[in-house]
This record gives sequence, structure tokens and C-alpha cells, in this order.
Amino acid sequence: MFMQTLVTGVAVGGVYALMAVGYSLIFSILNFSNFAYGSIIMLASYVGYFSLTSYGMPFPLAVVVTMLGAAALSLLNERISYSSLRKRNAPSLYFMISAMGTSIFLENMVYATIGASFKAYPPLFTQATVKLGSSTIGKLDLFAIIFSFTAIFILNYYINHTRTGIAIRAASYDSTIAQINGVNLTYVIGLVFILAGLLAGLSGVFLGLKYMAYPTMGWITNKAYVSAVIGGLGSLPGAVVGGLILGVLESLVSVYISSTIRDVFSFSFLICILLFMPSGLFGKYLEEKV
Amino acid sequence: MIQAISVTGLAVFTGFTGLMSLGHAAFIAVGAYTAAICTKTYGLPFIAAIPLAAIMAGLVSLVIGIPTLRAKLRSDYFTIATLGFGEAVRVLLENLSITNGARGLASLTKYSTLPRAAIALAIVVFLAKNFVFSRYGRMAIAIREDHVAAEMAGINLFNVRLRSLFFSAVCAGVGGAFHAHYIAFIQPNMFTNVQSTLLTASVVAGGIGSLTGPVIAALLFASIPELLRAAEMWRLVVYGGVLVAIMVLRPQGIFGYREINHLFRRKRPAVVAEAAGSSADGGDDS
Amino acid sequence: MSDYAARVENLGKNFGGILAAEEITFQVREKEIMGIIGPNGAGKTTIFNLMTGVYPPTAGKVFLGDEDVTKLAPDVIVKKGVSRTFQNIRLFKRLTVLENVVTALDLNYPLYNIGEALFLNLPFLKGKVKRAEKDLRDKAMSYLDTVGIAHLAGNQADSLPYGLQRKLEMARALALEPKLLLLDEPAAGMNPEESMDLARLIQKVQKDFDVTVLLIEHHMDLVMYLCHHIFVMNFGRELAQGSPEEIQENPAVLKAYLGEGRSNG
Repeated sequence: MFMQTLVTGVAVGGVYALMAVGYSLIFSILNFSNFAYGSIIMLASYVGYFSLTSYGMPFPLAVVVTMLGAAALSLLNERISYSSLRKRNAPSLYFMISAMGTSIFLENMVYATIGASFKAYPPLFTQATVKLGSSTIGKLDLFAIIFSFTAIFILNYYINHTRTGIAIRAASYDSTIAQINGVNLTYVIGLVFILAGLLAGLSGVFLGLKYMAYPTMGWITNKAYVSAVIGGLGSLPGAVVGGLILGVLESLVSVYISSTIRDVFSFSFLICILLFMPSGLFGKYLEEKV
Repeated sequence: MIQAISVTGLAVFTGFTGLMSLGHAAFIAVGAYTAAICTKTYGLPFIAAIPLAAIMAGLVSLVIGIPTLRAKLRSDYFTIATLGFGEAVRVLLENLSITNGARGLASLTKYSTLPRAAIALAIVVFLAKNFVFSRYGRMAIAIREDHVAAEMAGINLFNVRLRSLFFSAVCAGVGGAFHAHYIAFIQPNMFTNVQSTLLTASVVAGGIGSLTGPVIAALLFASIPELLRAAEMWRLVVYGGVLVAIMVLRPQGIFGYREINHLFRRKRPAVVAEAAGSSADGGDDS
Repeated sequence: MSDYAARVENLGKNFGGILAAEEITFQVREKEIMGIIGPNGAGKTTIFNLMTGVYPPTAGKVFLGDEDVTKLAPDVIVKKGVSRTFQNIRLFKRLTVLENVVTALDLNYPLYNIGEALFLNLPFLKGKVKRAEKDLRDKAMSYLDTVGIAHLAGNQADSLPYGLQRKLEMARALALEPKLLLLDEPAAGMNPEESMDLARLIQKVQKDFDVTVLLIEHHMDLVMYLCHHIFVMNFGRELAQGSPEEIQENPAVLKAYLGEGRSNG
């Protein structure tokens, strides 16, 4: 039983990690939490749904289309909601409000156009399970874990070993200095949003497969944000670890205590972590320059 | 009108202290339930229920405020903490017996008449004005403007922020008390983060750092959808769009950093007014 | 009673592996003007931040008089009589020049409590709060007058030119009625003439308000003219300390400055 819970936890955590990485990536470069990211994932989930059903695309193609669509949305999100704030050097409160506005806009746009009903993905892996020692794991979950970690691994390689990756890291340490050294900030930020968007697409499809697509699924993504904060915003390994920790703990809480308090638990856990480690487990140095 | 009471509270908190809360619906809920239980279960008069609702909401704000503000969390961490807190309160309301769980409390007496709400709003705005234009408000603004410099001016961030939060929760509590006795029944799912978001929308549209602006915005927001009930869905779409548009195009809102009477009373020199506009636009000249 | 307004002992600060300051020890004598100099990035501002509690040191102690204030929060240290200005000017930008100073006065002049503020401030009642606010404004004006910007009292703080913003920061710091005043590059961006005017202002302030001054500055002529005692830093460590004459002849200092091609002197 315990092992089974653990396995489920890791599966949930894998998807949290995927989304948390997206949050973290954007945070590291703009130094604010993009609350609109959850809505992008939600929209991605719908894109995936319609690609599979209305357009009858094969699954791999649908994934690619969703990822590209989410990347485009994410880029639009930056260009419309943030770029002018960024150029004006506006306080972070403005960024947060703008992000919140974007997410309300997108969420309710879906309500108003597509409707509040849950959209179930066609059954692809849902029933099948794989035996793993004494516990079983849904094929979908296994697939999600493998895909999440592959994506995170590729991203990590990209950021650490390519020229553009280094530019991104430079800009995340000090955007002014990076600019002086010839990093085109607008380009790099755009790129980061595209990368985060690709991840959003992938997570959107997985969430859709697992939980169906519905307008308020942003609530799940909020918990991905919580994982990112627990791990330390701005740190990619932190996002992964945070996602896994939260996924596992939530599964344990649901099974051994009660599933109604699961979400409350996540947020209380977050607050506790922040009280003792204000920048999360692996947070990048957050003391302010005075 | 009722919404405006809660908005006034949030205007003090977000507009003058510079922190964003997505959990204000929880304070409204606490106020609404406290007042409803007072009048319905204990048969107290409405006038006595209001201060109790206010105090209860204020106390609840300390529960979230003390740990998070003491830790001096980054402002976005604070915001996510309030979001989680709002959810926690809702779950709690759904599971307590005194609140009658998810079914909520029904058939309350409609005590909230328009004149009563207007009087309450006037009192709340008056108190908020006194708060903001006293040394307490000045300290809050100093923190909003530059928290490091504020600390170096001997201001205790925790005390000032907590005081603002408390004040703001008290206003929300009063708003909640009126809300409950206006629509005559309350349920936990009326107080979701969408509600909190709408409050923030009013504050932002009315102008961060202004009291009258948000109140006017709240009144406008509240009256427009009453006319266009059919467009319920699209209302929120428009709110979202408006929030982004305001941030991008006119971050100071309708009356950012100014009050409506300033527009008439105090004729500032053109140069100063100009500077006010450009700095509210961002202040990248630093 | 110690002869020193402040002392730091073996102070160190490690920023995630980078040593911003290490084994810094010096004393600031009562009522003197002391200078901290050194190339950019030498860790001078870090010393100010450690002394004012902006962040805790990783090693060492800070004393005010005889009192250990190492672990105290910034606002508590301010109450013990330390105030400062900032290298990258930190004003309350959207408040007026006057309000910036009034904010600082609130610390020592809490003339009314919250109940009075909320409930007794009726429009037709010219009460305590209104009088208190007027007193505060008058007092603030006198500080603005000291630094010579009283005529700009009603302007928004960030509409002032840089030099005057620095003076406003100084007025705000003085309004906290400190015993020890820390000035972080007060003359930054000024020409030699302006910086000498500022030097005279600092001298006058030191006398009139009877404070001890510790300042960070790059303008050597100002430092040599003003300071009784100088502390030189390089790469987060002490390079030398002594009187202006000693510093000017110190070979290590000359090497550090000339070696880096700096010619501010």
C-alpha cells in the first residue's frame, strides 16, 4: 500500500515537476511569478483535446501541435502582458496584476466560448497498467514520468551546454550586465517563454489525459507553482525536487489522512517551508542588493 | 455598494501597502458567516453583528498575517500564501457544522438596505481616509515605495503590514456582513478566489494608491453587470482584459496615487503633475 | 562610556561563496568624520549594510558604543541612533520632498495613536492629529532648510535632480536624529566644486547636530579635506587605515589605486 502510494506520488510529482520547471524558468529571468502560466497549460490541454478529437490527429502529432501552440501562447503572453512593463521597469506588483488579469481573461474566455463542461480525452492509455514490483502503475503515469524527465533533462542540457542556454543563464543572473555583454534581452526572454510554453504544452496534454480538460484546471497548476517555490524558484533541479516532494506528500496525505485537506496541506506545507527557508530548498540567492 | 466596502479595505492594503492578496474573499466569508450566525442562530440585532463580523475577520487575518508577514516573504510568495489561505478557509467552512457545511446558511433576514449600506460605506471610507493620511498610512506608503529605505527610517515592516492587513480584513468583514444580509443566503462556494480577484480588479482599475478611485470603480463594476446579466461570462473576460490593459497602458488606473477631490481642490503646478504621471508610469529614470 | 561611536570587529560576509568582506575591524571615534575608501566592488557598501542590519554578517560583531547590535533588525538599529543614505538613492519616490522627511520624523515623534488617527480626525474638529501633522511638517521644513532644499518641499521626490535627491536623503537621515550618520557616496556624480560645497555642508551638519559621521566616497579631495580618519578597503579586506596624511603616503594604497588606473584624487 505504502509503495503504491509512493509510486502514484512520483507520477503526480513528475507532472508537477514539469510545470514547476516552466514557472521556475520564467521566474529566473523576469524575477516574478507568472501566475498566467497555469492558464497557458489549461489552454494547451484544450488544444491537445481538439487536435485529438476534432482533427483526429495521431497522438504524437497532437503532442507536437499542442507544444507549439502553447509556445506561441506563452510568447504572446509575454509580448502583450509584460514586455511594456519590463521596458518601463515597473514594480513587481504590476507584473503580478497583469499576470492575474491574463489568467482571468483566458480562463473565462474558455468558459464563455467552449463552456464549463469537462472534456475527456479519447482513452489512450487510461486502463492499462504495468506491474512494478509489488505495486502497479498506470501506463499513462509511467509515460508521463518518462516524458517529463526526458523533457527536463533535455532542457537542462540545453541551458547548460549551448550558447543560447548560456545567454539565458547570464541574463537570469544579471540582465543589465548580460545586455552590456551583447545578450539580446528581448530575444532571450522570448526564448524562455517559448521554452516554458513547450513544457506547458506537454504538461497540458498529460493533465488532459489524466484529469480531462476544464476551465479551472489552473488550480492544479497552482500546486505546480507551490512545488516550484518549495524547490526554490529559479532553480531547475529545485523545481524537480519540489515537484516530487509535493506529489509524494500529497498522495500520502490523501491516502492516510483525508483527500479533502490535501490542498490545504500543500499550502500549509509551503508556508512552513518558506518560514524556515525563505528562498526554498535550492533557491537562488535572494538577498536584495542595497 | 456592498462590494465597495470590501474594496476600500483592499485599496488600503494593496494600494497603500503594496502587497497583493488573493485571499480577501476569505475575510468576506468570515464576516458573512459571523454576522449570519449572530443574527440567525443567536438572534442578535444586525447592528451588533457587524462589529463582531469585523472583529472576527480581523482576527482571522492575523492567523495568516503573523506567520507570513513576520517572515518578510517576497511579495509574490505572500500572494500565493494568501491564495492558499483563501482556499483553506473555504474548505473549513464546508466542513464545520456551525456553518452548515457546503449547503450554507439560508433564509437570512434582508437587513442590508441601500441607506444602511451607504452609511457603512461612508464610515469605512472615512476611517480608511484617516488611516491612510495619518502617520500609519505614511509608514505603509513608505514601505510600498521602498521597503529597505523604510526600514532604515525605523519603520517596522511587520507591524505596519500587519496593521494594514488587519484594517483591510476588518473592512472586508463588514462587507461580508452586509453581503450575507443582502442576498439572504450564503454558501462557501460564493467566496472563491474569483471573488478576491474581482476586488483586486476594482482596486487596480480605480487606481493603486487611491481610495476614492477604487470605490468609484467598485460602484461602476457592480452596476454595469446588473444591467447586463446575460453577459455574465463575458464580464470576467472583460475584467481580465481590463486588468492587463490598465497595467500596460495606464498603470495608475483612473485616479492612481490621487484622490478625486485633488482633481478639483488642489491645483498642482503643471510640472509636478507631469512628474507624477511619468513616475507612476514606471520610474525607469532611477 | 566608550570613546567610540561604533566599532566593528572581524566583520565578514559571505554571499553564497563570494567573500564580500573579510576580517574587517575598525573604530569610529565619537564626533569625528571617518571615511571608507576603496575601488568599486571592494565591499564598502557591504560594511554599511552589515552595520545597519540589512543583512546579518557571517562573522564578527558590530557595536554601537558598548552595545552589541550584530543581530538586530534594521529598524531596531535605527532606533539605537544610526541612520544612513544609499549609494543608489532610495527615496519614497512618489511622496513629496516634505513627506519623505516627515516619514522619518514619525519615529521619534509619535504624536498621536491609532485610535486618535482613526476616530478623532473629523473634518470639523481641528484636533490633535491636525496639529500634530502641522508640527511635523514645520519640523521637516527645518531639516530641508538645513540641506538647502526647503523651496522644493512640495515637489515629488523623484522629480528632483540627482544631487538634490542625495541631499534629501541626507535630510531624511538627519530627521531620524541619529548619533551616527552613515553616508554612502554622498558626492557621487558631483563636480569638484559641488563636492566641496557638500563637504562644507557635511561639516556643518556634523557640528550643528553633534553627530558622528562615517562616509563612503570616491572623491579623494573631499575625503582628504573632511575625514579625520580613513579606512581603505580592497577585495573585501582592509588595505590600510590611518590619518589622511598616512593614507596618502601608504605604498599599498598608492599601488592599489594607481595599479587600477584610478585617478579620482
